[in-house]
Amino acid sequence: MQKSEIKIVEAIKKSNIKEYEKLFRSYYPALCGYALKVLKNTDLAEEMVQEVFYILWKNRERLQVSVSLKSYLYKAVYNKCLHYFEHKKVEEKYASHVTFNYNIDYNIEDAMHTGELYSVYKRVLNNLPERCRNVFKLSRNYGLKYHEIAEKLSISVKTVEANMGKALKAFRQGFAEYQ
Amino acid sequence: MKRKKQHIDYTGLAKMFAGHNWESDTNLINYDIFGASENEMKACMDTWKTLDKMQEIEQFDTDNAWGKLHSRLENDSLIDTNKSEKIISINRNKWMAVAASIIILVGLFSVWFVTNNNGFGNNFAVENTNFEAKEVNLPDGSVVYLNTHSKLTYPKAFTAKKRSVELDGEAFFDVKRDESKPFEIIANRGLVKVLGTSFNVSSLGSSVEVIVKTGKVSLADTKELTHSITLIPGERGLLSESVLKKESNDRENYLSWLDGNLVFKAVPLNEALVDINNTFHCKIELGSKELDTLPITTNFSNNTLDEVLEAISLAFDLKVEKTGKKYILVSN
Repeated sequence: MQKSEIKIVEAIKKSNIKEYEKLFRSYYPALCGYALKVLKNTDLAEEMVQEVFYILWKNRERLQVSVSLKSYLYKAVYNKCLHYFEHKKVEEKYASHVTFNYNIDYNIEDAMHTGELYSVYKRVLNNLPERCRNVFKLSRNYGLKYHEIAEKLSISVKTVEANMGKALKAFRQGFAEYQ
Repeated sequence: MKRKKQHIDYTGLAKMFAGHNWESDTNLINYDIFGASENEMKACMDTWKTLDKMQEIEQFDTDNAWGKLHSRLENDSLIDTNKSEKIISINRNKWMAVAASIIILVGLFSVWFVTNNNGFGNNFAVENTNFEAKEVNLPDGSVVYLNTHSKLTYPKAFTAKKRSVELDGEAFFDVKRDESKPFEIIANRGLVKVLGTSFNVSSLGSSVEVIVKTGKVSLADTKELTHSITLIPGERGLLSESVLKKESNDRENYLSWLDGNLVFKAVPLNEALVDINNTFHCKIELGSKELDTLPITTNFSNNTLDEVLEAISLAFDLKVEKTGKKYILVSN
């Protein structure tokens, strides 16, 4: 386990809520992404991850991480989902039809890799020049067409195109090491 | 063969990817025309696909989630409240203020609606063409009162991570508290974000004004992402051009259009008439300049326009002259 990770674990064991919050914030979205792949439901996914962190804090004194904090967290989410899935299986035994759609076998390594990519993504995104970031978000997060973005930001379509190109280049370079 | 210095047309690539249908064939791409090698082309395609994957993770609101977790830990006495009080207020401000989430501004006449991960369509647009306030019940139990010539666009169901609506004109919002789904209003270039609270939003011309009745609300400039202010009851936020300002609310009668209550405390008559005109959608004017500064102190509660005119004329010994749709108050 990395030195930095050991420090974090020690801090949390000593009830350092700031470190705990930092941990939460770094892993929450990616872990939810994983849980989402397994459970196919966003609310449920968030519930599972929240539960994992809740229990982690509750039992912090007994916290034992051997390989890495990251795999510990992903495995914890996996176990939560598995537990939920088994519980649902029992419920469904008595139901007339299967309603729970799950994918417990979704590859955890893939999920962890995607999580890493997400950190890179966030870093690149925050380093983009403001207008470039704006254009990119309007296009990807909000699904706007180029001419709609141009109108909203009072810039030309050519500028929108150029900014998207800039963003693509930045992400391409950022992801280069990981893909 | 000497290799040409690579000048890759990322702009062209991005444009192509944006318009490309990934469901269908992804292999027939002429990477040559973009000045890229086959490897570079593949790398760009992978990048684009990864960006799609990132969307799935981006939808999760970490600030909100942390707020919930922290509250739960507190409620279950798992954290030292004293120590963590500072943290709570920092986090609340953080999530109340607009982070880097970009919102689309809406012009006065567009009917376009922003969705989060809900896809397109399935929206209701309610317009109030009458003079009476129009009540709109939203799918989450929130109630919106639309002023005259105002329009509200909202989805049939709030299935996304946020409850997002769009306003043209003026409305009073009574938002149902739901910590798991922040409520947002897009009005002109402003973005109003709230937990559960009641407040008035008015988008006039190209500016936006927000006055808070209860709770806490944030107003942000969608063109300047980090530019936002938080408003509490008694405060008024105004976003005009790119100027965002907060002041204490001196507009006593900002809700008169809705509740019919008008309160005047030694207000100059010409100013009082502005509120009266807005409330009754009429045009009352003063016959002479001297009447402008006459101070009026009175409460009108669900009175008719005639009753209001009568009260004013009696108080200042004036008479009402009506010409067409205008009322003019002159000395007796």
